[in-house]
Amino acid sequence: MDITIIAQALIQGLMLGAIYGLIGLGITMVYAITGLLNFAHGDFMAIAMYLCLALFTHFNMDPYLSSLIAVPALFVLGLMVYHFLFRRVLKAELLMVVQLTLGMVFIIESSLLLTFTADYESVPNILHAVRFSLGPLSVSGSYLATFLVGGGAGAALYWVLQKTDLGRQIRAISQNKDAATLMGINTTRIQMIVFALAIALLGLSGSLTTSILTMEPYMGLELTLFAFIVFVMGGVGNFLGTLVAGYLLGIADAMGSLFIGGHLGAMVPYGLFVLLLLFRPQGILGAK
Amino acid sequence: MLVSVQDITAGYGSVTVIKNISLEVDRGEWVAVIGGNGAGKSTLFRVISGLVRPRSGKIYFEGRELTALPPHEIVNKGIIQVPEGRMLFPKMNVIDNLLLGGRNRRARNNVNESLKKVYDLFPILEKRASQEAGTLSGGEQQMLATARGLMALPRVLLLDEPSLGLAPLMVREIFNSLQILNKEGMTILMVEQNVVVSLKNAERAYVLENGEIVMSGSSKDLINDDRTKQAYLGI
Amino acid sequence: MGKQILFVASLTMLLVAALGITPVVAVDPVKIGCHGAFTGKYAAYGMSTLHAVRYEVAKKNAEGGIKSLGGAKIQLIEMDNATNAKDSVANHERLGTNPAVLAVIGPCTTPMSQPVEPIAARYRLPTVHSITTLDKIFEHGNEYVFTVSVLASRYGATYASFMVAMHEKYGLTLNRITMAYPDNDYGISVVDGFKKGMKKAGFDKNIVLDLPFNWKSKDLSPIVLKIKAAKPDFHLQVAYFADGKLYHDACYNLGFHPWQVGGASGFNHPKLWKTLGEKIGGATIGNKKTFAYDMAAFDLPNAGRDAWTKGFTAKHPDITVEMNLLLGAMAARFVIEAIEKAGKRDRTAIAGALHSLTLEKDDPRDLAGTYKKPGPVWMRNGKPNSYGYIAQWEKGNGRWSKKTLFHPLMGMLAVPKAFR
Ligand SMILES: Nc1ncnc2c1ncn2[C@@H]1O[C@H](COP(=O)(O)OP(=O)(O)O)[C@@H](O)[C@H]1O
Ligand SMILES: [Mg+2]
Repeated sequence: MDITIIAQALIQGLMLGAIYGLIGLGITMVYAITGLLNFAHGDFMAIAMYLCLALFTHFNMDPYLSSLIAVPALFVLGLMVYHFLFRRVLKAELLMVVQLTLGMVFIIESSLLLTFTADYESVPNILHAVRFSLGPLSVSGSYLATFLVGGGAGAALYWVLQKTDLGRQIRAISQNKDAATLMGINTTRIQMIVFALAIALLGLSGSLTTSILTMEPYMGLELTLFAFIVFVMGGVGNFLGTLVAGYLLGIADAMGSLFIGGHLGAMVPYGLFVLLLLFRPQGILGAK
Repeated sequence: MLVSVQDITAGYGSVTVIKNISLEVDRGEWVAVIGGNGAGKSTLFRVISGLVRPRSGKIYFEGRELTALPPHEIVNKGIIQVPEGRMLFPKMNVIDNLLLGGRNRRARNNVNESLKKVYDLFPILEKRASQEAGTLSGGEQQMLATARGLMALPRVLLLDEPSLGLAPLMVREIFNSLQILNKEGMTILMVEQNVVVSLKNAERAYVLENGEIVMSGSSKDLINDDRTKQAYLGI
Repeated sequence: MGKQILFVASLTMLLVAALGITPVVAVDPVKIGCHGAFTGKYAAYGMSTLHAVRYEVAKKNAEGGIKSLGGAKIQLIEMDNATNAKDSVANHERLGTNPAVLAVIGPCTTPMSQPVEPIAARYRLPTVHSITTLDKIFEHGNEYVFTVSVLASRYGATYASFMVAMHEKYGLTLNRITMAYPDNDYGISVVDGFKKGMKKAGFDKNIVLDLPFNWKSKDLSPIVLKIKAAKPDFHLQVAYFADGKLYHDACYNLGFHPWQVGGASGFNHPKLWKTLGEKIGGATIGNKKTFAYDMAAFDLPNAGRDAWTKGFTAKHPDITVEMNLLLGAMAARFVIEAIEKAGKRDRTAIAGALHSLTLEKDDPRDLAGTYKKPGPVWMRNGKPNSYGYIAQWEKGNGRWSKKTLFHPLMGMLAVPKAFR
């Protein structure tokens, strides 16, 4: 196969991978400090995307502009969901958490369905019809923006985690919650902020991808599944690993459909996931 | 009295672990709570730090009630615990561990001086500054745990089994440092299974058995008490 | 307080149940089931069918009911499967075991329809689907299942005869033909029909790329790269809405604009314009080398449809007349006609009557306008004898609309943009 074709597919894979990483990062953050998995994770991204759709439909607002609304809105939503629901199951049985978050999936999906119908939707943004080329290779503006902003957000978050007091607090809670408490860290507050940040991150991912992905009310669980895969592949709770796993998954996706195609090609990312579980169960970069 | 524990009963779930415990620590004092494994010593400390809510009883710090405060507020008041098993942040380097120790409201403006001070006290930590805490030796880890506690500018330092799992030489080194601190005016409340070491260092001690205080007095008196000798000193 | 509410609630339930089983008319009514996705994901499809069926039943009852059964009124039993195949099966079982139910309309959409096929056979229950397209359902020798929609394989046949027509009439070369399709039952059926059609015309050897893809992909660039590398003279893209959008995005991004025909929703859905935006839409689906499958030819005259639309709109001014509504109405009409024709309350006789229904040329009952050949409505096994159209997006007065170009049985109906 022509090398430019492979290179082109590789680029697309990387672009998509940035999104997977960003979505997975939220799961990793929440897990790291609460030890809980949120099955409704992807559905919050769906909420963000539909918010962009509504803003576009009613005010003709570009999704990039909408992110200025979607990100804070999702942050506040995250605060509320944490305060009124998630907080209450922190010490509960795992099954309770699964039930609660799956319940949220159902509620969100049904509400989206009632409000927006099951039709596929998608909102173009200013960069959607812009192409950037480099020799024989080209990339769509909205993909590039997603890659850059998504990668940038991932890097920024990584910097926050590694270099700031908030990041140190988050890492402390994830390594030993009781000890963190004894350092005078208000763990409840940090958990709430991190949960909301993870949801706000989905606000960003959602706004970035309204032109790339088609949305439908039931899209959330699939996104959650991808997030879980990235989360495990990256080495449960490993922030950098999650980002790397996102890119790997994106590339595996692209290569799978380029070289194998069809259902079998679509299995390549999952195959990679299973192989990794078998031969490197601690994840790409190891567990936290 | 700096710390006054009054009639505390606490436990986990339906199990009561400590019953009607009262004790006091005065400013500048070094007080020990001794007792065998499972007596409820750590539980008592967890109650003081607010990690476990008592069923009944009250705790006062400088005459103000602590019992209803959330744990981080208790830390902000200067009640600093160095927990059993050290509970370091193993994937963080030494300096990050220390910085976390010094981030409470009272201590955060003093971080640089505190850092200098703990490095003076435990010079090895400065050498290990960028090493992950989980990779330190047992003695170094205990030093780091203690140093991390000191970074918080404690007004009372709660030490849960500082000698646990350490070689005798190391124990001596740690306690030497603690003595320096105490001489400088640091109030210490310490929990230990190692009765000899405790009674040698602390001025007073309480003896905890099955969650109840069965004896208390000055270390000198307790060392000479027949019951203590039999039960704890193996004499 | 809680107990009171419970009491009132149970009382209400009892009341509802009691009303439900009280006979509404003195003469035994003819019962027809209508079940489908009235809520849930595919509710839009299900409700379209239901609106049309209710309308037809009410009309027939107002005209005096089933004459051959002494003017028996039709009673519609409506059941919702909430877009859930399991509920669809349960509903069908219940209708099947109720001997008073003579036929069923729906369930619409393929995932709900496929699992009820054996139930229809077991209870000999005539089951007329409205918008189910899957060939497989009708290939088990089951005399009791029917659909009104054009079948997937006929989509493929339409693509094939369109390509050949473009070759013969406008001299387009067909030396390198490529095809990409979702690798599911639907995509495979379409492509099978296409390959058969191309074989008949002697072009099957020229298919140089047979590319199934995962229709849930988040990015179709790799697929487009492969198609582009195959350098097609003419490309067939089978596409749902979502993968169609991704396909067009990728084509635009990679600067690939071949002669191509594709469908259905991924090429013909009006919403694509909002989704792709004017610039990308104009360069892809609006391109003069791109053609779209379209089941309905709303721009062509159809007296039957116009009359029906008038009657329906008078009653339901708020409901837009679209393809699914028309197919629902056709299904209802055929069922009612078959019962009338059978003249007895017998499921097998009604199934036989359905099989014997015929359409004239330009029959006013052909609301969708897809049967262009006089003869039986259904071939053996309940496959409808119908084809869709090929259309092209055209911009007029600043708005994009579809112009119908081709029907397999009528040939070219208009000149494509590129050759005007
Ligand atoms: N988190 C807990 N849940 C339930 N029981 C506990 C918990 N922690 C300690 N215990 C029990 O409480 C008792 C006292 O424990 P602890 O306070 O740790 O004793 P000590 O520190 O004196 O060894 C023990 O019987 C122990 O099993
Ligand atoms: Mg203990």
